[in-house]
Amino acid sequence: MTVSSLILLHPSLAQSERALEAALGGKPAGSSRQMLDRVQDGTAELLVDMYESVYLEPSNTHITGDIFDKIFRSLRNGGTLHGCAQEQMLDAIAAGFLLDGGVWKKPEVSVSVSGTGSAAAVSLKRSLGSKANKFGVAKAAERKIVIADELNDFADDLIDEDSLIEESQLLAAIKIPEKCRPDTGRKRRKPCKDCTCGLKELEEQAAEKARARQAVVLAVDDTAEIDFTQPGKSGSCGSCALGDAFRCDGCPYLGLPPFKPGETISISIGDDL
Amino acid sequence: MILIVYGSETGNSADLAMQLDRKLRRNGIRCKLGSLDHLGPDLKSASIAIFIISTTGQGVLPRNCRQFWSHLLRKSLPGDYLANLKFASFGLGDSSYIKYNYAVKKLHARLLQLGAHQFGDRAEADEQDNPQMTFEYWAESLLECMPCIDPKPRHSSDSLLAPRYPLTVCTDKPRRLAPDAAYSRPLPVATVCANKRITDPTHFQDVRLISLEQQSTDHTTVQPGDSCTIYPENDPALVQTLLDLQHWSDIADYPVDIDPEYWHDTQPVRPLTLRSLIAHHLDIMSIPRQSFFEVAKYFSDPKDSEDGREREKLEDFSSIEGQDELHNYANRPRRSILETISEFSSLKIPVEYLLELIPPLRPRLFSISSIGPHLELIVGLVKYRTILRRVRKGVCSDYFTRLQVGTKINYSIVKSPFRLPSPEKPIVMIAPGTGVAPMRCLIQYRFHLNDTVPVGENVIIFGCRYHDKDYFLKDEWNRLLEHKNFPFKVVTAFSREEPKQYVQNALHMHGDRIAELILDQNASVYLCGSSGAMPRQVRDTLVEIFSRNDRMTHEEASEYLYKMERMSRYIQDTW
Repeated sequence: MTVSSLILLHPSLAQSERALEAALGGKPAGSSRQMLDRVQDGTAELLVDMYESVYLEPSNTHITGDIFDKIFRSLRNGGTLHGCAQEQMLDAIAAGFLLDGGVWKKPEVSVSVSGTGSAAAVSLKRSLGSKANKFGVAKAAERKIVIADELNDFADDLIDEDSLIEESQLLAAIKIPEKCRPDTGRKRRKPCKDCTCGLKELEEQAAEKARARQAVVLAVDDTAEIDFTQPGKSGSCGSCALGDAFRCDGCPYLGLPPFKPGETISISIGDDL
Repeated sequence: MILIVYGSETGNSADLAMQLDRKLRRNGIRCKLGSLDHLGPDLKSASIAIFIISTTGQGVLPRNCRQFWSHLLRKSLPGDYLANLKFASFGLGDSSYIKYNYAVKKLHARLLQLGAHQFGDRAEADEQDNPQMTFEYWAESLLECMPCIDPKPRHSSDSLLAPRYPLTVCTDKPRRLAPDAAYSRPLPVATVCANKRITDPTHFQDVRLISLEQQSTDHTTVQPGDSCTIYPENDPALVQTLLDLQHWSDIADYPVDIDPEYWHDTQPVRPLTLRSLIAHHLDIMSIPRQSFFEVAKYFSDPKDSEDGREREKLEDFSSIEGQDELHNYANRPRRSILETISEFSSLKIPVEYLLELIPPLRPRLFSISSIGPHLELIVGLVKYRTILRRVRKGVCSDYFTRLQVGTKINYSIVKSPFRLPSPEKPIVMIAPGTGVAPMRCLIQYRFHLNDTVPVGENVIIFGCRYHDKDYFLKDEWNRLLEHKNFPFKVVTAFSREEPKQYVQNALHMHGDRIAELILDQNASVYLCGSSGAMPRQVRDTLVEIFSRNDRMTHEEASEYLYKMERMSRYIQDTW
């Protein structure tokens, strides 16, 4: 079976030899071509159930719901549409396409579609009894009905979303009663991005102090057992080796990985600087 | 049908949604889980929907909500559009922003307008004030009033649940040992043709100019304001570290099988093996959240470490009482999941729970900084130190450091929602640091447009630290200034050299001329850069210059700026 494909060209491409060449490049050999404006006004007709793939050139060319329907009908089941603009996602779904692995596909379920977009919605309703033979396909058909009705006029006006705020200020959000907070539930502030209160400096100083302590610890011979009488190597809790999760606040090993006593400390994950 | 619908920019709300899903599953309730864009079409046929929505940007809904949110805002939708829906909502925001939790407020109000019925109480959590606790309190109250819950919970809260998205390693299939360049998603491919540092080597920050050459079949015309999505990959050495720690090396290169629902808003790389999954899709360098420990604790046998200390500590970190300690252990030093797994050596993670434990690695968006033919990005690399010995590096920053010229990478283009001003209108741009990236594209666009149609004045106020270290577009702009027929003015503000200035100071200094451009010549204003004090101060300065010379009162000036924003004449893109 020969693979047949169609390239739909935006009329502006006809003005430049180079642009046209680029648009035609990379497509399957023997691809048919049509100009989008001729398909739009009906002077060129797309045959039904004809193509394995349809390409919009240039990519992201905005097309009407009507063109989506024509493309859908011209594709074989399982056929793919390429070059569809991201923001036309709902239009593609309304026409019956399914996104499969990042590519718009005409589902395998055979649906008889005729006439204009809204008539297609009606005939889908009738054939919804057909079982889906692929994951999610029946749902896509369902979706077409839900959305096609509402997308009759997709250049619709939108309400101003900021107007929603005035209304909702009146709605109170629940607050956790103080008595329900655990004792340790104090506000925990991390410094803001452009901290002006000095918290960021405090944290940076704490980090520097910790690194200075680590330098002492790393400089001393680490193959020896931890000798708690050695300066810089305190450890009366006995937890220094276990990792930061178990170390005390002033532990000189804070920021270093866990180790076995007697083992050299290695910063194995990634590099140091 | 019960839906848990999230709106998540950095993964926090998605994580809470997973946690809520677990709570409901313990009560025998199965839900559909997904973003608003993914589950939106199902709202009409659902009986119950629970929304967990973060606020991002200037009080707006996250990107994975915007398409369906536009749909919900249509004036033509009837007042009973969602009359069959019962819903609850939870918001995640940051009280240091003025438009605190605006996204959930807007969504909640609109749902009511469309006829949906609220059940339970609304809640708003604050990043600054223990959001996890607010979430747990709200989730408990929600469970009490959900209509479909069996009075006796099916699972006690102590037992391990099956994973939401189980993962199977298919050892019966052939291994896929693909060379690095073979991993690809079904997305456009570009070749890296430049990756060079444009700040002085002695400057504290490494800023890169990265140039991508699109394949001719995918060529998209770029407009100012468009962004490029980059799909970073974890350092292969770090991926190997995880495989070694969990003894997964033997199964690392077999294909994996994952429920397709997991991929509802991404495309997986091919071939998908355990190794490529971890490298491309799992954020092993992210900071472990409380939910990480809630699941991980089951994988540490109390008998495995001395006194069962590790198991106990993991349980502490998963409890409400242990959150302050967890904050000190993980958040303050920015400890990664990988480091945590390395430190808790008793952890034996069953591979089928991998997706339950590790959040997805999200793509990053960068403003496109050039009009073509190549896609150029200006990126400040993230690298800093905390108390931890190992230097902290951003995942995408580290990826860029490793990215060689000649490599082929996936990318995609996200179109700008903003229309460009008409050519004859002047433009005022205020952009410190890497905020200049989209402005560079706009300036190039206007420069080329000027060949066909005369453009209005273009003024840019650029701020950086040093004239010689990080004024990286100096030469380029000096060349543009030589073209006398292109109306272009550059105002610089150097913050560490005399006269020490920030962009708002420079704006103040040139205030009369700028006010004239805006108030008398209908100029559009673009503000781009980091969020926080800078945008606030720029806005205050704009209000001040509008009200100079008794042109208008402060209140009128604020109102004028507000109107400009509503009409997209003032566009702020801060992060």
